[in-house]
Amino acid sequence: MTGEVTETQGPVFDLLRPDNFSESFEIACSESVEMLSATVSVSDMPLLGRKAMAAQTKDDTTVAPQEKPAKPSLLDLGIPPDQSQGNAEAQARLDKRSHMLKIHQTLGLITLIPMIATIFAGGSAGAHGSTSSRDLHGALGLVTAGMYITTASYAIRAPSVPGMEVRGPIRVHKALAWVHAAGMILTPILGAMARSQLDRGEKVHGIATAHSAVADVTVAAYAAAIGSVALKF
Amino acid sequence: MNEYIFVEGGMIGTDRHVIGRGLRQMLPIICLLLAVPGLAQPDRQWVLEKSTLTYHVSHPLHDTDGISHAARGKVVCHAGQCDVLIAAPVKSFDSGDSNRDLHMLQATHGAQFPLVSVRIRLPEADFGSSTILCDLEIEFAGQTVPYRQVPFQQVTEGIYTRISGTIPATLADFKIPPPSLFTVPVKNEMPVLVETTWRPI
Repeated sequence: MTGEVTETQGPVFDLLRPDNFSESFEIACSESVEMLSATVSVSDMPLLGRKAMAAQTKDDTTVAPQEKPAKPSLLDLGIPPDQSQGNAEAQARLDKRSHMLKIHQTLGLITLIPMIATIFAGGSAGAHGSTSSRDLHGALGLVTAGMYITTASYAIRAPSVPGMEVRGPIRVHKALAWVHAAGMILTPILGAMARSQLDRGEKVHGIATAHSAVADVTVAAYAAAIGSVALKF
Repeated sequence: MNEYIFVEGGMIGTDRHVIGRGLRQMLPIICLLLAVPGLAQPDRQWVLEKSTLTYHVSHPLHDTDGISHAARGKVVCHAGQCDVLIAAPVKSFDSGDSNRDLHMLQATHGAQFPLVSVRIRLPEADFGSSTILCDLEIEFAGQTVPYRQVPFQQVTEGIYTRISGTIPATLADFKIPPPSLFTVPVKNEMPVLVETTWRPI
C-alpha cells in the first residue's frame, strides 16, 4: 500500500468509531474539529489505523460525493430575501400611475390643438370682429378649458410613489404647470369680461385688456411644459 | 486487536489504547489535516469592489442612459470553474429624471421583480486573458435570458481586476413593451455597459 495515492472520502466521524481508536483520541478529535467530511490519502493509513481505513473504504459506496462549494447566492451578496421578493401591490400602483400619465400625455397633446385654434380664432374676435367669430373663439376656449381640466386631472390623480425624490426635467414640467394652470383660470375670466364689454359696445378696458397677453403666456408655458419632457437639456 | 500507530515515521506503540504525549499534543493538527481537504472550500473568491451598470435607450427625440452603482457581486472559483453572480436593484438605475425612472420601473415590472441579476460560469483559466468571452444568464423583468460569447475586457491593477463589456440586450428579449414618448416608442436595442472592479477575498 505504501506509495499509493488513491484517495478515499467520507465523514470524519465514521473514522472515529469506538472500536477504531481510544476513547481519549475520539473525544479529542470531536472537540478539535467540527467537520462533516474528510479526504484521506491512503498513505496516511498508518496514522489512522488500517481497520479504520478499511471500514471507511467500504463505506465509500454509500457516502455522498464530495460537495462542491455553493454557487454565490443573493444572500452571499448581502441581499436578504425580502429585498429580492416582489410586491404585487406596489407593481399595481406603478401600473395605474403609468396608465394615468399616458392618458395625461395623450390628452395633453390633443389639447394643444383647440388651444392653438383658439389663439387663431381670437385674432378676428376683437373690437372689429363679428359676433359669430367671438362665439367661435369662446367655444374653442371652452373646449380647450374642458380638455385642459381633464388632462390635468389625470396627472393630479395619478398615484405617487412614496419616497421617490423628484429629479430632472419633470421638475420644470411641474413648475410650468403652475404658470399655465393660473393662465387657464385667468384667461377665460378675462375673456368673458372683454366679451361683456364689447357686447355692451364699450371698448375693452381695465384688467380685461390683459386677456390676450395672458392667453399667449399660457400657451407658451403649456408648450414649454410639453417640450421640457420631450427634449433633453 | 492491536493497532499500529505511527507518528513522524516511527512506531510508538502497539496497543491502540496507548497514545504518546506527542501525539496528544498534535491531535488538533492531525484532526484538521484529516478534515480540511474534504471541506467544500472554494479555491479563490472575489468580491465586487465597485461597479457602474449603464443601460442605453434611444428615442427619436433624445437618447437616455440609466446608471446604477448599487450592484453587488461575488466570484467563487473551485476545481478550475468560476461562478459569478452580480445583482442590482432595478430601482437603483438613475436616468436623471425621476419620472422616466418610475416609468422604467413600471415597464420592467421592477416592483414585482426588484432585482436584475447576471450569472456567469466560466473556466478559471479564462481570467488569464485580456478578453474573456462569457456565457451570461440575465434574470430581469421576470425573464431569464442567456447571452452567448459576450466579450469582456480585463485589466489587472495591483490586487484589483477591472472587467468591462457591453451586453447586447434588447427590450424584446425580456418581453418589455417599448415605452413611448408622445406615442413614439423607443428603439428595441437596450445595450447595457458593465464596468466592474473586483478584489480577492
